[in-house]
Amino acid sequence: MNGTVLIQSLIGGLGIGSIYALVAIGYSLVYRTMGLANFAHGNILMVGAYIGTVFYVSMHTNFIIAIIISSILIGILGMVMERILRPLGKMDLIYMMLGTLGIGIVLQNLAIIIWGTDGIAVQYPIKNEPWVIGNISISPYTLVIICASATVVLALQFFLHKTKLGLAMRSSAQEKEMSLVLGMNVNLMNALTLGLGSVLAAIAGVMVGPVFYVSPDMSSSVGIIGFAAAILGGFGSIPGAIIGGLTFGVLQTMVATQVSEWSQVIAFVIFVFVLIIKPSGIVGERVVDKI
Amino acid sequence: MELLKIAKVSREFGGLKAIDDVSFSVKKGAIHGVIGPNGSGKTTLFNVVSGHYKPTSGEVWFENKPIHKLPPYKICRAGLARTFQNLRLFKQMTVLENICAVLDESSGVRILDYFLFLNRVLRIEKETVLKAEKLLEDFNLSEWWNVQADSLPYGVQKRMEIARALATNPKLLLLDEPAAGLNHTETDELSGIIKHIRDDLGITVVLIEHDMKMVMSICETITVLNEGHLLIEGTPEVVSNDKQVISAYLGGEW
Amino acid sequence: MTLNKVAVDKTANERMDNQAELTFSLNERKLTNSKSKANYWIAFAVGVGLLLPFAANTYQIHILNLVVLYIMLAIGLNLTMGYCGQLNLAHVAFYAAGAYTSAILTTTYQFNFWLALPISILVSVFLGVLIGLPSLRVRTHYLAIATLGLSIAVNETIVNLDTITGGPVGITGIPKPSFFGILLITEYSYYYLVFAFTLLLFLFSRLVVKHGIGRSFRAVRDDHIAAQSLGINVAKQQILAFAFSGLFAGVGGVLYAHMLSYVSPDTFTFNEMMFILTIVVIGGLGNIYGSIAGAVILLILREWLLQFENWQQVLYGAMIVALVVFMPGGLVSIKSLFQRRKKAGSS
Ligand SMILES: Nc1ncnc2c1ncn2[C@@H]1O[C@H](COP(=O)(O)OP(=O)(O)OP(=O)(O)O)[C@@H](O)[C@H]1O
Ligand SMILES: [Mg+2]
Repeated sequence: MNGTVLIQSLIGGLGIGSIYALVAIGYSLVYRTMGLANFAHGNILMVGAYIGTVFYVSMHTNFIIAIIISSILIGILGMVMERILRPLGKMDLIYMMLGTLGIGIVLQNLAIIIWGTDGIAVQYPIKNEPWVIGNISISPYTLVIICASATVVLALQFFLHKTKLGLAMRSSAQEKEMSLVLGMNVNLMNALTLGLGSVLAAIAGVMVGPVFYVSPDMSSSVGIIGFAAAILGGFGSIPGAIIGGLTFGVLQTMVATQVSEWSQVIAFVIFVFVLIIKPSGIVGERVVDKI
Repeated sequence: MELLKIAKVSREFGGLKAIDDVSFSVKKGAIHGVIGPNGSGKTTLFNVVSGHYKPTSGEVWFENKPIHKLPPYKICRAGLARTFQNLRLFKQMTVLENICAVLDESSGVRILDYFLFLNRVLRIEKETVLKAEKLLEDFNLSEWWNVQADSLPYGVQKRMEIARALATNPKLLLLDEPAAGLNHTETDELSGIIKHIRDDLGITVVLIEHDMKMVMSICETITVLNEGHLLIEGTPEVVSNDKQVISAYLGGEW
Repeated sequence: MTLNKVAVDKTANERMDNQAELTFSLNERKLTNSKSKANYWIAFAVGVGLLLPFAANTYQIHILNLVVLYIMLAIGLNLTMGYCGQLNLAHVAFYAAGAYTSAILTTTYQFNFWLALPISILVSVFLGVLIGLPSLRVRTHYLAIATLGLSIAVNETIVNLDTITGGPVGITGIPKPSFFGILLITEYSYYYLVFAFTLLLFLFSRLVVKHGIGRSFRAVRDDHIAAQSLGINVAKQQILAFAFSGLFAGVGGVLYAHMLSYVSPDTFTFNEMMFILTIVVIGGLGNIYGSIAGAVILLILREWLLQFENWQQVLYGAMIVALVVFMPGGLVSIKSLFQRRKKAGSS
């Protein structure tokens, strides 16, 4: 692999990696707050992508407006989902998995009924002629994705650490019992977290539209890798989700430049090896079982 | 004769020294107490001995063989069994199944038998159940045999955990706060059980306990830990009159 | 009653012992009674199973074949997940390994079915052990996504090795097996082959769960730390559980390939994995009879929902959510629910 290819695939990888990171943060936020691995997250992303695309492609709204509209609608969907998922919060992992999966199936097939299975090609919202610097050619939209995702993550961190509501959400995640005692509405906090996680998925979904097709298949392709990224970083950790997402993106893209059809296989095998070496993920601390 | 020897054992958790350079040994046939205030490292010590935690430094010897590098299941098979401070039963299994699951390990059924030698599986199953029934009888658990472990009364759960540890046919039994949560009569009962285990079954016992009355009455030797260090070791009289021990426990239960 | 007291009061001791023995043997008898009752039920079910094809039309016999096949797949997954507590999302990869190995051996290399069968089983068991290895290091969500990732990797590998596997198109023209000279060409005759294997594996799983292996599995599931401290080699049990998953799914895969005479990677997807998982969970984790009931009900449900055309999947998803939320113990919990009601009513 020469330097040019390396840099090019690195940037491309960071682009798709930031999408994975946003998805992974959604998984981790919800897990941290509700103890729930939300297998409908990928489907939420797909519905968000469709809603944004409908506004952008069919109704010719501005791309940013499309993202905002999609975020609002998906945020509400996320909050509604909390009510359905509430009984699952206390159950074993397998039941949660199946319950959220059921919701995912519903969303998936509603989307198919409404939008069909063909998928929609989305125009780039900016002129996407590659920039050529020496031998290296970079797609400007990739840089847009990276910057936009970074902005979203910074905004999220600001919200969680500096605003009253964000702090309340964090404390409700960390000290469930205490928050209950203090009279906090834990259900509301859960709903807000699911809403917030879903908003991140919607943003990721609409942004990635021009790169991929917007199609029902997005849910499993982006959804499963987003989940794997969250686990790779350390489930429940936001920095972990970012690292996991970027790692997955770069890994996949780099392998793809060498043996394109094997990129998925190799990425997953490496992923499993990393887990075997670091069973709690990259930033997850190795907790010794308290006995 | 020394059955268990703990030599300069330390264990750290991210900088915190839960136990620090602890050495002592347990004589064969003893009832040996380990006491100390909360957080003094007693359970950690047990976890190191039973192989759940590897020591940061130091060695553990059992019957003159080093065991600190072995995985827990091998340590158990070498003859060292334990109970846990927070009960760890096989919750969704009945009492009889809890015991049988342990006996199965030494019953000699091989995986191949399930495919080829059904008779062997069935015959050994009968033997296993019989052995388990004997053990249950010995611990007055017979009436509970078909009850799922998590729906037993607390005292019975504790008794069953001890019986289950004995099913491994150990030479040494480590008990982590067996009296915690028991009432007076149950504690007396427990003292009887521990003596029975030592006197009649010939098994050496090491127990961690906060109930001083019980410790003083049944242990021959007591080791006191404080903040991970070994404070003093001696007979109940020596330990209970020691100034350091009293000050370590000040504000504690004494 | 205390042990030392009992030792002193000898007569009391004896009295109580006798009492204990009495209730003990009574319970024992009750248990043996229900055991033989279970045997009658199994014999009855086998009888019904053998006769069903005579009442089935060509469409129904196809569904029957699938039901019996999925019973086998579900029981295998239940052994790993429900009994041993391992979050194994690679069952479908072992299913694929069995199907593809047999398909390749019997078409490209013209092996006889009965020779290809054991080889295919070996391959899928080996894959089971291999994919089970991460379970020695990672647990819960981490293990779920590790096995899922490897399962996706297996599927993509099948797609990529197109010279051997036919790639995305798959393999066609897989021959029907013959049994002592009878070619099992119709789905009616093939049904008996699937039925025989499922019955065999069901009886095997019953043996396993009732004896040592089953208890060790459940001990690992309930508390792996305690299990270790009691001399149970947890790693060995976990790998064994994955090997069982490979065994059941492998046999299932072989039978599937020769049933349809056709395999393609589209069969062995995440959705298929989730369908088998749903059968197991809806039926009841840690209960092999639940898996049988689950397979029957879910396959019938799936067929029944076909009439709703576009909406079938939406309804299916909604039903899963409802079942998980309202009946978390699975179908087998209905019985205990009923019993608890009865008790509450009588008191
Ligand atoms: N797995 C672990 N990870 C981190 N710290 C631990 C772990 N296990 C024990 N510790 C720490 O080691 C110290 C000793 O704990 P330990 O449980 O051994 O005390 P103890 O003497 O058994 O106390 P108690 O009487 O309350 O049971 C405590 O500060 C505890 O927080
Ligand atoms: Mg302790």
